[in-house]
Amino acid sequence: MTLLDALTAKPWLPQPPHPGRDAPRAPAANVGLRMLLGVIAMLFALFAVALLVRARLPDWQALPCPGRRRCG
Amino acid sequence: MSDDDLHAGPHGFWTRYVWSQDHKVIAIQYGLTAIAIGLVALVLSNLMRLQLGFPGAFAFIDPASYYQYVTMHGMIMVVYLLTALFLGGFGNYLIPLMVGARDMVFPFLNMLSYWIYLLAVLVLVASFFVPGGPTGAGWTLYPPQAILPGTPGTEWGIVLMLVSLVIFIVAATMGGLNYVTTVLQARTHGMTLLRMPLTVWGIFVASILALFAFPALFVSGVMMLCDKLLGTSFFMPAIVSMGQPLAHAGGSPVLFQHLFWFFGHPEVYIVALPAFGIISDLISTHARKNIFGYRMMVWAIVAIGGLSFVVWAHHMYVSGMNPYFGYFFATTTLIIAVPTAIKVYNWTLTLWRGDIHLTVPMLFAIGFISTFVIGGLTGLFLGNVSVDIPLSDTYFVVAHFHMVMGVSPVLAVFGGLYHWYPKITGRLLDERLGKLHFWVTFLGTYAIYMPMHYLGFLGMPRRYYAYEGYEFIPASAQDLNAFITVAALVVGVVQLVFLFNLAWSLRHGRHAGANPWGATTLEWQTPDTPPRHGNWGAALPEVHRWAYDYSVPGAARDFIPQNVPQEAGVGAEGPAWEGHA
Amino acid sequence: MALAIALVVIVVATVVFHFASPWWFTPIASNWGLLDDTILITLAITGAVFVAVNLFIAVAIVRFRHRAGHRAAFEPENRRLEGRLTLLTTAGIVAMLAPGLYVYSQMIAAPADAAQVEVLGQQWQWRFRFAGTDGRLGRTDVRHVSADNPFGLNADDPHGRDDVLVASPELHLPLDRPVTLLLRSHDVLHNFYVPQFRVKMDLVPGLVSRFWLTPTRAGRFEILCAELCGLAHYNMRGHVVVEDEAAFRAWLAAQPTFAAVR
Repeated sequence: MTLLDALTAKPWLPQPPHPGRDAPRAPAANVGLRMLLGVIAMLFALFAVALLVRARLPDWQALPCPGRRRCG
Repeated sequence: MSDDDLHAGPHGFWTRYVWSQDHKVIAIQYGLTAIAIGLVALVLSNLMRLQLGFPGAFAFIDPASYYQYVTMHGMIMVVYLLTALFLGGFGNYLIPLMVGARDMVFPFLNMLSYWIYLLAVLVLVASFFVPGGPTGAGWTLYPPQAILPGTPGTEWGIVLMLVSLVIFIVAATMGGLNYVTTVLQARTHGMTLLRMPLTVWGIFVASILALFAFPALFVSGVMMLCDKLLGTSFFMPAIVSMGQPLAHAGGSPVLFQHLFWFFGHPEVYIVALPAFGIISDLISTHARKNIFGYRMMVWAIVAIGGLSFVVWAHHMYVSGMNPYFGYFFATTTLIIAVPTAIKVYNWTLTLWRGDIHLTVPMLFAIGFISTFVIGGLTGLFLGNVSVDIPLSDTYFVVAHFHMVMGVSPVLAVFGGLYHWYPKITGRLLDERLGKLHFWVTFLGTYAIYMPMHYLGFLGMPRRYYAYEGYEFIPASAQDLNAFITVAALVVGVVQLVFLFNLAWSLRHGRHAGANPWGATTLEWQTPDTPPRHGNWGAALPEVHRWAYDYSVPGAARDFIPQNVPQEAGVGAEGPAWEGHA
Repeated sequence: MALAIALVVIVVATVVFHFASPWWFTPIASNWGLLDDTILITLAITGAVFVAVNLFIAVAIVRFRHRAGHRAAFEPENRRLEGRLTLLTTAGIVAMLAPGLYVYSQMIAAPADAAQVEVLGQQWQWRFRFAGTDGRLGRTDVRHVSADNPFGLNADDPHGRDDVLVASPELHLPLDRPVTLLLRSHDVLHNFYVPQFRVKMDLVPGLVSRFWLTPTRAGRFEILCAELCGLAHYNMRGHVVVEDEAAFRAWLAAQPTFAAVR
C-alpha cells in the first residue's frame, strides 16, 4: 500500500483483513537515524543560509589565505 | 531483556520513579516539571497585570523587573510549558498507548530527553538569581537590544537564556525523534495510519515541525551567543550604544528575525496541532459521535504543518524587510486559514446530531473552540499585511496571540487532563471543582482578552511599563486596565483550585474503572488501570477498526473499541450512510 | 445548558460591547483611511463568523444534549458539505485579502513628489533631519557620530552642509503634502509610531527603512516607540506638528543647518 493509498482510505469502512502479520518494517533505529540525519541536515542548511545571507552584506571579507595573494 | 522483565518492570523506587525509562513515568515527570515552571510564568503575568492595572502602586515593580516579567512569562509559557507539556507530557503518555506499543522505541533516549529538559529549566531558573537578573529583551530576544546596555540582564541573563534554549532544543530533538519513530514503526497490528486517533496525528505532525523548526532557533541562538561572547557581527551592525561606539559592524538584525520566526511560526503550530488533536478526540468521545470528516481533519493537520514553514515573515511586516515579501507572506498566511477553518467546522458539525455529555472535559473542549475561533479570526487581521500595520505592536496583537496560543491550548491541556487523569491515576478528578475551574477560567479569559482588542484598535502599544501622559489614550482606558487586572488575578487564583483537585483526587477521587468515558481508543482498553510497565500484559492488542466507532447503527452499545473484531462489532458495514461518501 | 446560555450571552455581550465601547480608532490624521476600511471589512466578515460559530454551538448543545434514550447519528463525512464550506471560506478569505493587497500596493509606492524627512532614533529620543536648499540629504555613517555630530553626518559630503537638523523631539510637517519618512537608528530597533497616522515602521540599525503618508489634519500628535527598545521604551516620547505650509516654512527656517552647528 502506498502512502497516498494509506492517506485516502476510508477507515470507517471494514478493511480487508491483512494476510498474516503486517509487512516487515525497517528497524526503528534505521528510521530514527534517518530522522536525525534530516534534523542535522536542516541545522547545517540553516547555518549555511544564515552565513550566505551574512556574506552578501557589504562589509564581508573572505578569509585570507596564508602564503598566497588570492585564493582560487 | 526477557519477556518477564518487560512486564514486571523495574522494582526499586529510584529506577521506577526517578531514572525511569517507562514512557508513562517520563510523561508525568515532564508534565509536573512543565506545570511547576508554568506556575512561575503565571505569577509573573499577574505581577505584570498589577503594574498595568495599578501603575506605581507596587514599588518593587520597576521598569527593569517589569520587562523581565514580560520576557520570562512569554518564553516560559511558549517553550517550557506548552511545548514540553504537549509533546513531552501528552505525547509521551499517549502515543505508545494509543498506537498499541509497549513503550517508545528508544526508552533510554526518552529518559535522557526528560533530564536534559529539566537541566534547561534549571538553567532558566538560575537566570533569576544571577547579577542583573534574567533578560528583559522580550521573548523574541531581538538583537541588538538583547545584548546591549539599556536592557535588563544583558550580561548574565541573556547568556543563560540562550544556553537554556540550546539545551532545551537538544531535549526536544531527542523526544521528537522518539515520538515520530514510535508512530511510524511501533504501531500494533491493524493500526493503519488512518486508524490513528487525531490526538496521535496532531502530536505526530507537531513533533515533525519541532524537529525541523527548532534548528532555526538553535542557529540564531548560537550566532547570538557568538555576537555576545566572541564579538562577532552576525546580527550586530555598526552601533553607537549610549554614546560609545562598539566594535561590531556589518551584521543584520533582520537576519535574526528571519531565523527566529522561521522557528517561531511553526512553534505556534507545535502547540496548536496537539491541541487540535486532543480536542477532536474529546469532542468525539463526549458527544458519542464519530469525528466529522476524519480524513479532512488529517489532511488539514498535514497541510497546516507544511504551510506553517512558509508564513514566518508575517511577524515582520513592519521590520524593515523588503516590502515585496509582504505580498507573498500575506497570501500564504491567509491560505492557512482555510484548513484551519475546516477543522473548526468539523468540530462543530461533530456536535450536531450528537449525544452531547457536558462533562468537564467536554466543557473545556467547547471552551477551546470558542476561544480558538476568536484567536484564529483575529489572526486574519494580523496576517493580512496592510491590515496588520496599524494593529502591529498594539494590544490587539497581545489579545490575539493570548487567545490563539495561550488560552485555547491551555483549555485543551485542562480538557485533556480531566479526560486522561482517570487513566493515569485510576481516579476521576472532582467534578464540582472541575466545573468551578472551568467557568471561572473560561469566562475570566473572555473578560481579560475581549476588551483588550479594543485597546488595540485605539492604538495602545504593547510592552509599555506605563501609559501616563499619553494624550490619545483616554482616562477610561486605565479603568479598563484595572478591570482586566482584577479578572486576571481571579483567573490566576482559580488555577489553585485545579492544583488542589489534582492532588486531592489522587487519594480521594471516585474510582474510575478502566474506561469511564466509554471511549474507543486503545489507551482505555489496557488490562490494568493505570497501565503497568509494558502496557499490554502478555499480548499486544490487535486493531480492527478506526478510532471513532461511536453510536454505530445496530450496535448494542454506543461505542465499539478499536480492538473489537469487525464481526463482533455489528453494523459497521451498514449502508445507511454510504450515500454521503 | 448553562454553556449554551453562556455562549449566547458572550455573543450578545461582545456585540453590545462593540457598539457601546468608548475605545475605538483614534481619529485619523493621514491619508490612510483605506487602512481603517480594510480593518472594518475584516471585522465585519470575522465578526459574522464569530457570531455564527458560537450560536451554532449553542443551538447544537440545546438540541443534542444528552437525554435518556437519545443516540447520536453516525456520519463519517459529507464531502458535499465540506466542499461548500471550503468554497465559502475561500471566498471570505479572498474578500479580505484582495483589498488588503490592493491597499498594500499603494503603501509601498510613494508618490514621486513626496518630500523626504529623516527620522533618527536612539535610546531613547527622536531626532529629525531635512534636506537643505540643495534638496538632497547628506551621507551619514555611524562612525562619524560624536557629541557634536549626533546625526553622524559625513563632513566631507557637500550635500550635508545645508541639511537642517532638528535636535529636539518635535517634528513639523506641512499639511496635505506627501512625505516619505526615512528611518534610521544608531543603536537598537525602534518603531516610529503616530497612532493618528496609522502607518508605522521599525527603525533598524544598519539600514534605512521607509514609509510614506500625507498628513490630512492639522494638530499636534504624539510620537511613540512601538518596538521594545529597552528600559525607557515606554517613555520615548516625541511630537509631530502638522500645520499649514507657511507655518511649516517659518519653523523650518528657524532650525539650524549642519554647517551652522559645526
